[in-house]
Amino acid sequence: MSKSLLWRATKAVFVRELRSEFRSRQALNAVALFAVCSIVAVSLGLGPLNRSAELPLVHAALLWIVLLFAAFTALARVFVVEEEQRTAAALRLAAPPHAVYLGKLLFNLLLLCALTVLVAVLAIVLLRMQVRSPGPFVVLLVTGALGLVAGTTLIAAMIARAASRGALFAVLSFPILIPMLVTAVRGTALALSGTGWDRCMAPIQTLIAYAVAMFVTSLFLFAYVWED
Amino acid sequence: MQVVLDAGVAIYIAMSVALVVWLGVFVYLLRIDAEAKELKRLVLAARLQSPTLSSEVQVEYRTPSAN
Amino acid sequence: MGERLAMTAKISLGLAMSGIIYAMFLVVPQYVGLGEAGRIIIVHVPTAWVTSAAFAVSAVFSILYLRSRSGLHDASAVAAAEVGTLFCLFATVTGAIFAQVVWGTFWNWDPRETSILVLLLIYAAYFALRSSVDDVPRKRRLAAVYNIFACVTMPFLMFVAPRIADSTLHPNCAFLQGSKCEGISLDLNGAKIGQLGDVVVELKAVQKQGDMTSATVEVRMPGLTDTADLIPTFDNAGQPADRPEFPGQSFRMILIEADVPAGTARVNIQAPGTGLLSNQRTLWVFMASNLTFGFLALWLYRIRATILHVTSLVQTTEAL
Repeated sequence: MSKSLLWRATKAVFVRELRSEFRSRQALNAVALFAVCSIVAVSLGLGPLNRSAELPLVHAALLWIVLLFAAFTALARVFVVEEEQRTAAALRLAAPPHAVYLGKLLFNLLLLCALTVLVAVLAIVLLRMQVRSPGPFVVLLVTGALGLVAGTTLIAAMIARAASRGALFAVLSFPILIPMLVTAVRGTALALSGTGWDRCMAPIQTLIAYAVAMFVTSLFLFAYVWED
Repeated sequence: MQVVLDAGVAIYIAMSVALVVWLGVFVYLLRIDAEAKELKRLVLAARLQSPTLSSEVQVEYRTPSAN
Repeated sequence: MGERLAMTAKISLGLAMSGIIYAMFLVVPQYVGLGEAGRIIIVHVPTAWVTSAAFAVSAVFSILYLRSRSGLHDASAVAAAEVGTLFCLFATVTGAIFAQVVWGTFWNWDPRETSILVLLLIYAAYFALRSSVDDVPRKRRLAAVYNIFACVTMPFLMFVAPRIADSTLHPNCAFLQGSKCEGISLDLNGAKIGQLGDVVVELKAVQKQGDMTSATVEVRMPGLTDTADLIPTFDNAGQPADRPEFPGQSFRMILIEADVPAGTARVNIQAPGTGLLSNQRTLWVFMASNLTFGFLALWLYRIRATILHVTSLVQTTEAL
């Protein structure tokens, strides 16, 4: 298949996802509320936290835990919906597997980026998280979101037809995401405490390498998941 | 009890416990191994006797010969 | 002939393992600083290696399964994963016992401990996936895909996470050339806070006293159960001198480098166990133990793969 054809099919899948999301706003509503609830819960629980040296690490860990669990609730939807509405077979006929994967990946990425912005803003406002190096902070969040999406989209396709999907999605994704999560938390803590680009580059590079590795592997494996 | 925990004796006791556990596991493994082999033999023999029940379907591809 | 050879091999495996157990307790000499706990490496390290090998084999069979769709390949992948999980549990438990005796805690969130825990979680997820898909071909396909996908994350765990953590208590410098045990660099004017294992360290001062260089480092134990100021030193030959113990633990802090004008210092954890295999008797028992555990895993794998394959044959026959 030529490149432009794949790109056009990918775009079609992506636009279709966007349209159905704009009609129902299911995913966005659920995830946004989830993010607000968890950040409020965390802020209430912690209360006025004393200024201690570990505060950046605590904030970074909380931020990524909220993002992780929001991702668990949000990212499986793209494939689960196909099964629930019985449109998977039609999609199989209409688009090549790679286009389906890429389209859904792009949609998940968009959703997670919106979510990340929301969570970060809420954390800064409600949790009084101080960002001392904004540049590395933003780049770390973006590369972390890339890693999260690349690591979970294939698994979303896998669990779409299994029993007890929600729990299984978290169970299967969590061990895959641990390396990325550890790197992201430590990197974000560095950025929050005001470390410059030079020391934030190592976690950023690791996150990019992780995202690329997961993305390429998913691309190879997706056809096997999607074949019936 | 004091004798058992004495440094000189404890190591022999630890070793004997480990040895006994291993021998138990070993005998168990030998038995499981023999049983698995017997099971495999039986199943394969049963499949040979009733070839229609075989799950592996032979498909033969023939290309039309240009005669 | 083949039968008899196989039986001989199995009996010799039984005898060899008995010999390893005997040697582990009564032949291997005690290692200074480790006491009797050092003996556990005869079991711990081989089981850990067998674990990695089993998981690699499992991933290879998963790839083969996706290409061939043969039930035998799937059975082999599952059997290898099961044997790997069993040995992984062994390695984890023996490691935790060693850690309790030598480092003072069963679980330390050492990079090695984290990675083996992730490995256990991955295979728990693998078996959970298998049990929640009913359709047999789809179950096999998805499990194979997950196995390969999880395998790709392994390098990140093994090589990336430990580098981020900067330091490990795990005595791997004893065995592996080129492993990173460089400690962590702290800077009074920059990043003065870091982590050694799960201990938070903060550099307070670097000073020179006579011919000794010393650094004052505040350590905060996990959960802030304990904090203390440790003052490790090194002499003018660059050799660590004072090695203060962490509060409530049996590992020590050493000062590797310090630059008084720049206000930087590099500190590391030191735990007993380095150079364990330099003793000839220990080395030979260790090698024999690696071989024996390898063959034991192979045998277990063969038994399990046979049973799984035969069971799946019976099931497909019944289904028809």
